[in-house]
Amino acid sequence: MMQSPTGFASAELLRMSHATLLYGNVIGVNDIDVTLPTGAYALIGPNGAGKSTMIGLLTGALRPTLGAVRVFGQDPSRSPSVMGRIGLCPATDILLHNVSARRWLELQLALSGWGRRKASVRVQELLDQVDLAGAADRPLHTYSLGMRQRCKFAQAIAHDPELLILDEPFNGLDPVARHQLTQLLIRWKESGRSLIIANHVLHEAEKITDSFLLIYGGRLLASGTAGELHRLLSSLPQEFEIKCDQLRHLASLLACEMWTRSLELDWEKNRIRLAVESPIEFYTALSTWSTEHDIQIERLLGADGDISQLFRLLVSKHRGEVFHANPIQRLSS
Amino acid sequence: MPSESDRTTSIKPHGDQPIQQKLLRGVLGVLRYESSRSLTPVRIAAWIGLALFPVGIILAVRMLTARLEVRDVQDVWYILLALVFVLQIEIVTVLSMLLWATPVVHAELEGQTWVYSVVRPHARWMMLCGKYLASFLWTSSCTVLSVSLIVPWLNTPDPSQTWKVCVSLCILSAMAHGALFIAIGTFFQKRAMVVAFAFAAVVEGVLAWIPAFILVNSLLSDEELPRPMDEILVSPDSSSVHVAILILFTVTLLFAASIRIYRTQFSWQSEY
Repeated sequence: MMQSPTGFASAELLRMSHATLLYGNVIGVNDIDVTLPTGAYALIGPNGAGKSTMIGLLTGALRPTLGAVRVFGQDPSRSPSVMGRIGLCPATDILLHNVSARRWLELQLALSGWGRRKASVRVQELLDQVDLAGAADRPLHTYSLGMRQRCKFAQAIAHDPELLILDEPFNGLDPVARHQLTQLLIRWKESGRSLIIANHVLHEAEKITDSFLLIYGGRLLASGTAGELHRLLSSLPQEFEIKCDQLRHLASLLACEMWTRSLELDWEKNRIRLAVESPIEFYTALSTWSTEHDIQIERLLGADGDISQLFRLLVSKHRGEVFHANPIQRLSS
Repeated sequence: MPSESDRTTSIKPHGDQPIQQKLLRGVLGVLRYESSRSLTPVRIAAWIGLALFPVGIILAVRMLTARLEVRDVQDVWYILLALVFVLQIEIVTVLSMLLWATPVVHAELEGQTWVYSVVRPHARWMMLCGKYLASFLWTSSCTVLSVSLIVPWLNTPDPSQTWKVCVSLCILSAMAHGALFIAIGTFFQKRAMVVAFAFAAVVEGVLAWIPAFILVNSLLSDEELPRPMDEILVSPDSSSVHVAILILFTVTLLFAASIRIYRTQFSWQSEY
């Protein structure tokens, strides 16, 4: 696992010490060991990766079977004061009938210990903030999905938490609603408060933060900033596509290298497709050959800059797929 | 990374109000919310129906006794009073609590809103108490209205005293049955209504009548009773003892429900 991201405020946001949660015989999260300072993070993983379970542990709704979870230095399942500092926007939709957003938000503030009058004022502020003031007294079941998402976001920030956790907040939103929510989250991050956003779409999360936690199969595969993840990417086996003026020559040079896993010459498309075990050595060799053998590289297509490729590589590695099967075919797919 | 002591001292208390005040505000907030949600045409119709149903039965019996020209008025009001007890306690209160108190957790799980209570400090307890109070008020107001409409038709010697006794019984019944069905709702969260209905049918509808059947059977067969009739029908213990037992019963069930609701881990996935 990579080191925790650096470059944030020094206060500890959360610490998961070998946290494991079992649902009977099914593993929810598996031996997660990470410490994060305050800041904004994107928890990235496919559906069923364990993101929601991890959020359940962080919010105290679930308790680890093994290991320990600390948020702001305390166990969230045992410390009400910590729970009060967290705002959660879950992935589940609200299925309430005959309840207006205003009434529902007032209930959430009452559950946070707010008095009726103060809660009423705060709810109006929230409704203005999430652009729901005009529909505040309409029943929730008449709202669009985007409006309900904004309502959920409003309840999450209603009690002014220090850590905001959102589980798949962009699900079902149209582009306009996505943009609005992204702007809200960017403003939240810029206010200096912490944020954890669980998502399975990378580019949406990248707009909000450049710190990622990659989770799959209940395991934390990697964590770090975009730069750190790119460095990790260059140390992992990768697949490339090269177009150049001396295909045969370059192929022969590549074939002699120990780090070349597979090689395919495609004469029709005038390209080489290869998989290498050491991208750093590949880059160095390619640069040298280009100079020494006067090879004109027209195009080099790889994973650099594409964080989704990193995720695919980590998942493949986790599944044990990286060192067998046909990598070229996976690239083309 | 800050040391353990740094972290501990950096934690600010959430809010500056006393915890009791927060709890009270939360419970009252849930009570307001649940009460306002109850004001739908269907629920109001159900409330009126439950309140008027015993009145209709008593009026029908009263008209029947008048038509049959029953002369012993004392016996009639005594029987009618027993009927009022059965209707208000065993039917209206049980049915009302079955409908409003049992789905305390299940309704929230179904609406996918329980998660919001789970992640707020003490909110599970606030929800439990607020919903209990809402169902108590909803049910007891229904039975009190019903009793108030019935008492003038009973022709008891002291209508005012009869009203007081009946209202007290209704309130005590709502208190205890509410806790009972709340406990069922928290212990059997996903099948709460099924279990509560089975309980109402088997325990309240069958088992609770067994002592009465034995007594009636004994009387009809002229068997010698183990104790005088007065002692069997009216306990020699003071009413305060009975009330204390009911309060203890209620508090114990609510406490058990609170423990259950706090110890249960609510899986995010199962709520999808």
